[in-house]
Amino acid sequence: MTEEKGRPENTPPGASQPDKKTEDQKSLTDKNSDLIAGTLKFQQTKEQKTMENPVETQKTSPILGTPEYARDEFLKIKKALVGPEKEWCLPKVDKEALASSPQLDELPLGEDCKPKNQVLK
Amino acid sequence: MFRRIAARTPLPLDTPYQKAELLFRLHPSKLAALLEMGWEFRKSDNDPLGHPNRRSDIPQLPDYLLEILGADENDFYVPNKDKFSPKNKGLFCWDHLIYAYLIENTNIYEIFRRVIYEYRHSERLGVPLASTQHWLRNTEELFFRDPAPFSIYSVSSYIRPDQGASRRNAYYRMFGMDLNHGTSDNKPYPYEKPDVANREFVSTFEEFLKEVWVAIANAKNTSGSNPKDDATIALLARRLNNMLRTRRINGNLSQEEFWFVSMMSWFHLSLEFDSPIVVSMRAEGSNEEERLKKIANQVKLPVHAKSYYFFRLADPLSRLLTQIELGTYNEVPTVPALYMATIPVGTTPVEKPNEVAQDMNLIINYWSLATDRNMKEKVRS
Repeated sequence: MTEEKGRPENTPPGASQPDKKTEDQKSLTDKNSDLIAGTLKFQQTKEQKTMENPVETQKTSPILGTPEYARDEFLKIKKALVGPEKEWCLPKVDKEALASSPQLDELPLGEDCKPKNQVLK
Repeated sequence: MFRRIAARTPLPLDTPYQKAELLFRLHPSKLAALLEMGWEFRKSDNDPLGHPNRRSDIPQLPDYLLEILGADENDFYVPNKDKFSPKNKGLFCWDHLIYAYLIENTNIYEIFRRVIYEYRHSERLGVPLASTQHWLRNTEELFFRDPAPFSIYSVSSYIRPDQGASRRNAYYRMFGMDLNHGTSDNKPYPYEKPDVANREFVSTFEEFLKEVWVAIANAKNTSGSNPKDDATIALLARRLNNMLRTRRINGNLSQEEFWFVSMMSWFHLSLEFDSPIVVSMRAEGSNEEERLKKIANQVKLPVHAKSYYFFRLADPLSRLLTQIELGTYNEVPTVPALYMATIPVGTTPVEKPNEVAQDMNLIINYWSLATDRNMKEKVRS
C-alpha cells in the first residue's frame, strides 16, 4: 500500500485533496470575516461611546440660527471681553509690601481667593 | 480694555491682581501703545462698517511711531500682540458703550478727579504710597489732560474741548439717557444734545426685558396656555438692533466708544481689588462699591446709591447689547437661548447649561433694582 504523497492524516484514501488555492481562499475569507467582525466591533464601541457621551462626536460648529449657536456666540463674546468673573477673585494687598518693594509675586494671597469650601486646619 | 489686559496677558505672575499692579506701573507711553495695539488688532471682518465685527476703518498710529513709544519693550504688548492677532487677523473687541455709561453713572470719574486734585495740591489725604505714585501719574496723564496728538484716544479738540460733554453726548445719542449727576456744584452738565438720538431705547429695552422674564417664568410650562411670546421678543430685539446700528453707520461713535470704555475700565480695575490707590486711601473693601464709597467719603463727594447694581450690570449688559447689535435674536429660532435653562447640543438628547439665560436673569434683577421699575410685573392671561 502506498501512501498518497502529501495526503494529510485522517483523510480517507481517494478523498479529494483540498487544493492550496481553496485553502488560501478560505483563509482569506476568514481574514475578511475577522476584519468585518473587527470593524463591527469597532463600530459598536463607537456607537456605545456615542450613546455614553454624544458630545464627543459633536465637533462641528452649531447650526446658524439655533439657540445653541446663540449660546456659542455669547460665550465667544464673553471670552473676548473680560472673561470669567472668577478671574477677579483678587487677594488683599499687604500695605508694607506695596509701599516698600515691587516684588509682586511675593505678595500674600488674600482671604478672598481661598477656596470657599476648603477646611482650613 | 485694561481689565482684559490685566486678566488675560500671559505673564509669569500668579494672579490678575499682580498683573494689574504691573500694568499700573507702566510708563504712560506704554499704556498709550497698548491702546493703539487694541485698536490696530480690532476685529475687521467683511461686514458693513459699524458692525460689531468691523467697528471702524480709521487707522491706528503708524508702526514707526509705536516703536518710539517702546511697544516692543512692553511686558504687555508683545504677548497680547500674538493673542489679539494670530495669523495677522484682528480678534480684539471692546466693551459696548453701555459699559462706560454704567460705570460712569456711579460718579467714579468725578471722585477720582477729586482724589488726584487732593493729592496734587495737599497732604490732606496723607502721602500716597510709592506704588500709588505710578497710578497717580498714569491716571492724570491719560485721563485728565488733552490726549496726545494723532493717538486713537484723541477725541477732543477746539471743536469739542470737554471730554465729559463728549461722553454725555455719546450716551445720549446711543441710549437717549443722560448721566444721573451734573456738575460738582449740582447744576446740569452743559453738553450738546442732538436732535437725533435713541430716545426710545429705554422703553423698548424694558419691554424686551419684561417679555424675556415672562418667557423665563413660563419656559417649562408643558400644559395649559403659555404666555411666552418668542415673536414679540424677536421683534423687540430687532428694534433695538436697528436703533443701535443706525447710530453706528459707517463707524460712527466707534473711536469714542473705544476710548470711553477703556477709560472706565481703568477706573473699574482700580477698584476691583485693594489696589495701590485703594490702600493709600485706606478704602479697603469687599467689592468695588464699598471701596468707592470709602474713597468718596474722604473727598466729600456722593456715590450713586445704586452703584452696586451699576457695577454688577456693566459686564452682562455689554455682552447682551453686543449680541443684539450682531442681530443674534432678530429671528424667532434663536430667542429660546435668552430664557431656556439648558440648551440641547445639536440633535442629541444631551443639554448644556445656558449662560445666556443666566445673564438675562442677572440683568432683569439688577435693572429692576437700579431703576426701581419692576421688570417682572408683566402679567399676560
